[in-house]
Order: sequence, then structure tokens, then C-alpha cells
Amino acid sequence: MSGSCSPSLALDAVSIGVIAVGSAILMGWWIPVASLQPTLMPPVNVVTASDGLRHAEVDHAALKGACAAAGLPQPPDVNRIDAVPVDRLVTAMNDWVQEREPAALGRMGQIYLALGFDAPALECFAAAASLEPEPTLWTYMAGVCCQSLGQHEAAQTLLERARTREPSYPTTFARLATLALEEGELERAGRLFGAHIERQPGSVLGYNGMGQVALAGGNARDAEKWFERAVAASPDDFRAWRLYSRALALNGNTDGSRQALARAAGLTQYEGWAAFDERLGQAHEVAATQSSLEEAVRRALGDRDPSRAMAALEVLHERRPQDIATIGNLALVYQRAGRHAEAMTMIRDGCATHPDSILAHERLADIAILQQRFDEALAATETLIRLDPRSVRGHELRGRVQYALNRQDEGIASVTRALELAPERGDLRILLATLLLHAGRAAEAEPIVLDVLKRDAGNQQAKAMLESIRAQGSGKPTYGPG
Amino acid sequence: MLVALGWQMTRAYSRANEPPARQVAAEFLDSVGCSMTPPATSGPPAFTDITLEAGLNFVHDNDANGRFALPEIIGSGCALLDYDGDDDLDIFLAAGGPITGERTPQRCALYRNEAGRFSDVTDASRAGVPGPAYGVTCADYDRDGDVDIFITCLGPDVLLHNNGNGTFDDVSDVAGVADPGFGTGATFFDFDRDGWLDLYVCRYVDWRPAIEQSCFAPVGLRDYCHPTTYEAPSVHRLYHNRGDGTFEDVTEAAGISAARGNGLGAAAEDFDGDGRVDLYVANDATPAFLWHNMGDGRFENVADNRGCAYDCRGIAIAGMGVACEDFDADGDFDLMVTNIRGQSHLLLENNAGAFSDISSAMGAPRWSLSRTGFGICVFDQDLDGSLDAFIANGAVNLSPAALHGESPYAEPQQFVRFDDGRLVDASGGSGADFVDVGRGAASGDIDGDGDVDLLASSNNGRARLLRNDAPVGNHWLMVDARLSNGLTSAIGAEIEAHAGDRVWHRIVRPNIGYLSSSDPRVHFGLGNAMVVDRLIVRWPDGSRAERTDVATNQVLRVVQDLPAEVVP
Repeated sequence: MSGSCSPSLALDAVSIGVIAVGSAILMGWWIPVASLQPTLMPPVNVVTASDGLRHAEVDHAALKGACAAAGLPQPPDVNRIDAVPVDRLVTAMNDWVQEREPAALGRMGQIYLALGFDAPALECFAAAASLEPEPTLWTYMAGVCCQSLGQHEAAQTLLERARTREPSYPTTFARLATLALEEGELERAGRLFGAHIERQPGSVLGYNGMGQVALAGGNARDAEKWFERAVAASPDDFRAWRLYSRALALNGNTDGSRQALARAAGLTQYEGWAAFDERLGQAHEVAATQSSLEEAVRRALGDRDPSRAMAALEVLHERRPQDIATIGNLALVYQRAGRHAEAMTMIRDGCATHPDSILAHERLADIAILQQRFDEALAATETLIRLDPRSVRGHELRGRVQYALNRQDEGIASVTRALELAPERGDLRILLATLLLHAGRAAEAEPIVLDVLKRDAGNQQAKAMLESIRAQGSGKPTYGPG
Repeated sequence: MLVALGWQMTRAYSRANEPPARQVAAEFLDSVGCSMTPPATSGPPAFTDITLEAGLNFVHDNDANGRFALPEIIGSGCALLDYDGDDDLDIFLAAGGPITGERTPQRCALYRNEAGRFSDVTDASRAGVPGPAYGVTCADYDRDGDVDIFITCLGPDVLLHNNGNGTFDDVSDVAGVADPGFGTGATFFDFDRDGWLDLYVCRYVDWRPAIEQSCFAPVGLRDYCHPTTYEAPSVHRLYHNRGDGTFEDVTEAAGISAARGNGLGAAAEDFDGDGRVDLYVANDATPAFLWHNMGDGRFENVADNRGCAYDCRGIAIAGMGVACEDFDADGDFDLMVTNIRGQSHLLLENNAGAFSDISSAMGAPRWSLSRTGFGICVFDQDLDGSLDAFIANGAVNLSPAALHGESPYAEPQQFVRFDDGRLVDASGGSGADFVDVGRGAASGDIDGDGDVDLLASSNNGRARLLRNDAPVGNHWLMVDARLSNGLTSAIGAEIEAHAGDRVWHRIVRPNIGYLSSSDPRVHFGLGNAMVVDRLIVRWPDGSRAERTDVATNQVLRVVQDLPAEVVP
């Protein structure tokens, strides 16, 4: 036997040595690298509450720890709130942890904002804006947060930056103009509202703003012109009519002012910027809040798109399975979409599970009327009135159903009661007059129609009814429209 | 594999060296001047909570049990009144639930001031009206020398007649003021100048359990509905005092039924200087009323014409508490109305009966947008001659940030000062910035040291007593204006104090704020003025009295037709 190693053994030893050293080096490097691997957020569990709402369940301490490790703003306790937005929030957090994309921070800000957590929303938008100044969405949203928190200087700075970098988004100008108006900088406010209108012609927000600037400057004449444009552009904007009324009053046009104010009554009131800033709606969509579904339903119904409304309501129903308002609205949409059997089943079930719900029985009456199930509709209205003797809708619906069942006098009595409960309702007056005319009681209908015209001289329906009454020859003296 | 490992390492180390996002955010916000913390005031706190040491132990019960019924968020009022005529202020607190269902009702509570400690005398006084009660309005409606208490309720309102012997009797039916409905703020005022106090009662939403609906917060939880959801604003009530212990409901005859609103607070004042007392009424999300007194027993709502129906944007604000003071020292009385989070409190400058929205000019949006304000007391806390204000805050919708705290509706209270023509937030470190679901607030000198203290009620929480620890050095004067019987506070009397080139105007108007009633004695902070050169009193009947060289730092009782006397 010789005293030296064979070449193959030597090669094996070298290989083993290289592997050992390499492994040691790798281990020495890997452990610290492994320790630098991002910590993901704890999972979001879903708990179904007794009312059917699905709440998030998250280990808050673990979430705080993971956010701290990831350098994120401290999260609020999101336990027991809607699970869907929380899930989206945690997904965005994990996206940040893994990819460090500013957009993930921005999405977190949007979800926080939609849920009402203002402080972390602002922090997320600020971080995103700092890391990603372009596009300007995050800078803009940080400005929006500051404005809503009363941080005027910061809002001004941020919105100016957004305006400079993205001069095409009209609402930035309107927000800056509002800040300027609040600070008394009328000239600047006017320029900015003007720039807003240039970018969004026909904007009621812009016209109202210009009018407010004029009013603040003591120029009621100019203000009146601007508000006139506002009501022409948006006849359903309650602010425009109220402000128009104010300007008319200041210019001595008392009648016009009163009529403008009357137009404002009954119009839907909105608050804040949500009606004008689509980016606020986008935040809710990113968060998939139930509010975003409600808004989707509203828009779909406004666009007369029942299939879109139905889709949104079905999702909302899934998220709020026991909410009678959602059940009732979905049933009504099913009815209008031709799914009559489903509509009736759904609303009957709703009435059974919510026996004291006014809304449930209103919807049952509505659907039963549409299906010409007048006896069932009548029963629903009777229940409605039993639950709330002062229900205007109850008496109104009962009147309509009684009339449909050829119980004319009862129907007239019901609608009369509805009108007693709500004397300001011009449509009830028209309804009552219509029923009276059909019942051959024109003499009783005439003073009611005249009352409508006294309150609303331009009411075409009332004018037509008066002509019809007079054509029948009521034998009464002719009255002017008031 | 080595390349991938190297890439991983580079990425990991790179991230480890990046500043944390929260640090980036903080630096960014700092660079644009965004600060989330109100600056702390220097010096000792302006107020000290003396609730427990004073023996006040009342916890309101709003009957919240998951139904989210609208009345649960209204809260209740409080009053500072001298019910026993011993020249110190006692306390009355309106009770809470049950709103529906059967359980033992909470009762209103009366506490007697005994040298700074308050004893519960509810049972002995028979003032323990069962809830749910909301507004507390105090005045001597029958001029028998004792202050009476009117309490609005969800259901028939209650008038407690003070018998003068430490007890009260419920005379609601006899007096004719037991109108059912959702009563809220009320005010006694003499609209026909016959010497008898009439009564205006705000009504809120025409609520009954059947019309309750389900509403949701953005976080997807059940929450209270917006008042306009119910589409049921109410007609308010006006009662004319017949002078014989009874009232006549003149709502219809006076034209008050011409308008409906979700009423919460009212201020009686001759806004247009025509010698007749008008009424501003704050409504919640429906246009405010300005009932112009036409002098013939009728009122006309001129709010729209006079620029106070809504704010400068045309929005009918969520008007809750009303303050009515001469903020701009021009001799007429302006208005400040508290509002909901997301909207600024409303400041209306009075120009001979026409109003201008000066909220922004006064700086109100900066500190009020993030709060929901209810009770408001305007007074001179530090006696420097400028008015300050305490605002009781408390949310009406879920505050996500407070969801897991003691109450998801709790907010920090606020204390603001008039500074160089603007209102600035001086809450931090004031002692008045405690977190609560604030509702009513009443002001008055509880400890007799010449400055104005505070009583604050809480929705479903503990009532608090805050002692004003005003700095020593400035001067003050308190005027206790009484009618010729020497006992009845002269509600509606205007008092004007001149010292050097400064003039202050006040009105004897205890029924102000939100659902609450304050000390009827009028208080002046006079700064370094050591004497009031002229003190003018204009009595409700139009007569006038004047005194000169009035010493400061005293309570001066001024009785109509009699020489003034100092109250020891």
C-alpha cells in the first residue's frame, strides 16, 4: 500500500471542503438576510355577527407589530368592523411590505379615508406623496385630508402642488378657490373658480362658487347672474336655488326669492365634497365599503339602469343580509326587472322577519300594487297605518289601492287624511284633485287645484286640470291663478 | 442561486436602510406645516374638574341598547339656578331613558348648593321628573319670586312650579304646556311686553318608534340616522303667558305653524332694534328660523331674507347650541351656532337685523371641522374684557378612531378665546379639553369668587362641574338685575357697562346654549378697569336706569325702580 491519497479521494475532500466553507459563508450571510425578510400582516378572519354583518377579526397586537416592523403608520384597531375593507387594507399593507410600492401606501390611505380613520389616512397619503410625487393623486389626497381637518395652510400648499403638476383635474381648482374664499381672498377665489369652470363647463360647483364670491364682495347683482346660471345648469341643486333666492332677496325681488326658495324645498341635500369629487368615491371603491355599493345603487337608479342597480343591491344584500331597507329595495328592483315571483317572495319574507317595519310594509304595498294584488296591497297599507297612524305614505297608498278597488269615497278619504298630515305636499293635492275629478266631484276638486296654482303658478298638471274642470262647467266664478 | 441570493440580500439591505414610511410621512407633513396637535396653552389650567369633591354624582342614561333610536343621541341639558333663594347656584340635571319599553325610568335630579358641596335633594324637592327629558329652561314665570323649571320631554313637557319652600309641583296640565312631541330647547321671553314671560318650545323630528330606520357607518356597523332620513320636521310651540299661572297655545295664531324644522336651540333677542323681541331658532339640517316679532301677536319667519336661514354656502347646518352675544362690540347681538363634524360652527354677524356669515373670517373652520359641537357657553374666562367660549363636543355618528375606547362617540371638549378679532383654539392644557360625549353646558359663578364656572352634561355619561381658576389681577362685575318685586330675574333686561373707552353689552338671558339654562346674573370681565364709569340698565318694559362710578369686583343687585345694592 502506498502512503499518498488517490486523486478521487483528494477531489472528494476538496469538494467537501468547498461545500462546507461555502455553506458556512452562506449561513453567515443567509441568517441576517433571512432576518431582513419582511414580516407579513396577520390574517384577517371573518366573524358573522348575530345581525348577519361580517366583521373582521385581526390580532391587533400582531398587526401593530408588523406595521411597526414595516415602518408603516400605527394602525387603528380594526376589529369588529366590516371585514371586506379590512381585508383590502391588510392586502395593501402586505403589498407594501413585499413590493414597497408607494401605490400600496396610497391604497391604504384611500381605505383609511373611506372608513373614517382620518389621521392614518393622512399619514399614508403623505408618505406616498413624498415617495411618489408623480402622479399627483397622493399629493392631492393629502391636501384633501388637510382641508377636511381644518389645516388650511397645509391644504393650500398641497393642493397648489397638485394643481401645478396636474392642471387638468377641475376639482383642485374648486378646493383652492374655497380655501381662498374662506380666507377672504376674493379675487383669487374668483380666478380659481373661473379656472374650474373652464375645465368643467356647466359646473354648478363653479357657478355657485362665483356667486358666493360676488356675495362676499357685496355684489348681489353679479351674484344673481351666477346663481341663475347655476340653477339653469343644475335644476336639482338645492344650494343653487337657496343662494339664488338669497341674491334675489338682496336685489329686492321678493317674489322671485320666495319662488326660488320653494324650488329648493324637497330637493335632496348633500353635504361635503362627495357629490363633486370623484376621488372620494374612488376611495370608497378601493375600500369596497358598503357606502360605495349604496352609491352605485343610487347612480344606477339615477341612470335608469336596473340591472346595474340589481347587481349592486345583491352584493349589498349579501353584506347586510338582515337589513330590511336593502331587502325592500332589492325586491322592488326585482319587480321592475320582471322577476315578480322573486320580488314577492323576498318582500313577504322581509315582512315576516321585520313585522314592525314601516319600510317592509310600504314595499309590500308598492310591489303588490304593481302586481295588481290589490287585496294584499290593502292589507299591507292597513298594517302600515296600524304601525304608524301618522304615516303619510300609508294613507296615500291606501287611498290609491282603495280607488283601484273601486272604493272611491274611501280612497278620497284616505288621500285627504294624507294631505292633512302633510299639507305642504303639492303632489298629494294633485292626487286628491284627480281622484275627485274621476269620481265626478269636480266642484270639490276645483278649490284644491286652485290652491296648487296659488302655491305653484307654473304647475302644468294643475293648469290642465283646471281647464278640464272649467270645460265641464262647474258653474263657479272664475278664479285667477293667484 | 447565488445571483438570486445576492439580489435578495441587496434588496433586503436596501429596504433596511430606507427610512420608515411613517417617518417619511411625518417629515412630509412637517414640511407643509401640518400639525395635528393643538398647541398647549402655557400656564396653569384655566379649569379644574371639581365634580367629585363637590359631591355631584349624576350619570345620564340615554337608553342605548343597540336599537340606534334617534332620541338616544340628543342628550340632556343642565341648569344652574338659585331655586332656594339663598344667593348661590344650585344644579338641575335632566334625566335620560327609557325611550321605549318598560323599565324604571331615570329621574331628573336637583342638587342644593351648601357652601360648595352639592346635596341631592331630588326626592325632598319633588323635582325628580321621570325621563326621557331633554331641555331645562328656568325662569320665574309667575313672578312669585321663585325660579321655576320647564322641562322638555319625549312626550308631554313638564312645568315644575317652585313653591318657595324647597319643593316643586308639576303644574303642566293646569298651565297648559303639556304638549306631547319631541321637545328640545326652549326659552322664556316676553314677546308682547306685558310683563309676563311667554314660552317658545323647539320641537325636533316628529319621531315615533315606528319611523325608525337602519343606517350604517362607513365602517359597516349600524349607526344613528341623519335627522333628514325621517323626513318629519316639526311645528314648534309658542305659549302666551296669561299672567294667572296659565298659558295659551298661540302657535297657530302667531304664525309659528307656518314653518317646520328639526328644532334644537333658540335665542330671544331684539335683533333689528325695533323694540320687540324676536327669536332665532337653530334647526338640525333644516333651515333656521328668524321669527320676526310683528308687534301684533304674530311672527313672520324672515330667516332667508335676513341671511341666517343657512350658511354662506346655502347649507342648512346641523344647528345645535346657540350663543347670542355682542361678539364685535358694536352694540347689537350676534349669533354663534354649534355644528356637526365636517362643517364649521356658524358665526353670524348682526347688522341691524340682517346677518352675514363670518365663520371663516373668525377662524372657526380651523378648530371646529373635526368636532361635533353641542352646548356652548360664552363668557369672559380670564376677565380680560374679551369673550371666550366653552363648547361641549360629542359625536352623533361612530368615530372609528374611538370605536374601541370607552365610547365611540366621545370627543375632546373645547375652549376657545377671542384673539385679535378671531376665535382661536385654547383647549390644550385648559382643563376643559376632557374627552366625553358632551351635550349641555351651563355657566355661572358657582363658588362666588367672581369668575364664571361651568356645568357640563354628558350623553350617557357623568355630569361635570368645572371650577374656573382665572388668574388674579383682572377685575369683574356681576349684575343681578331684578324686577320691581326684588325677587324675579329681569329676563330680557339689557345691561351696558362703560369703563374708559371700552363698552360691553350683555342681556339677562339665562335660557341659551343647548338644552340648558345658566346663571341669570350678568357677568363682565373688565380687564384692569377698577371702576365702571357708567352702568346702564334697559328694563324689559323699556324704562332705563343708570348708575355711575360703580366699583368692580362685586355682585351688584339692581332692582327696577329701586336703588342698587351690593350683594355680600
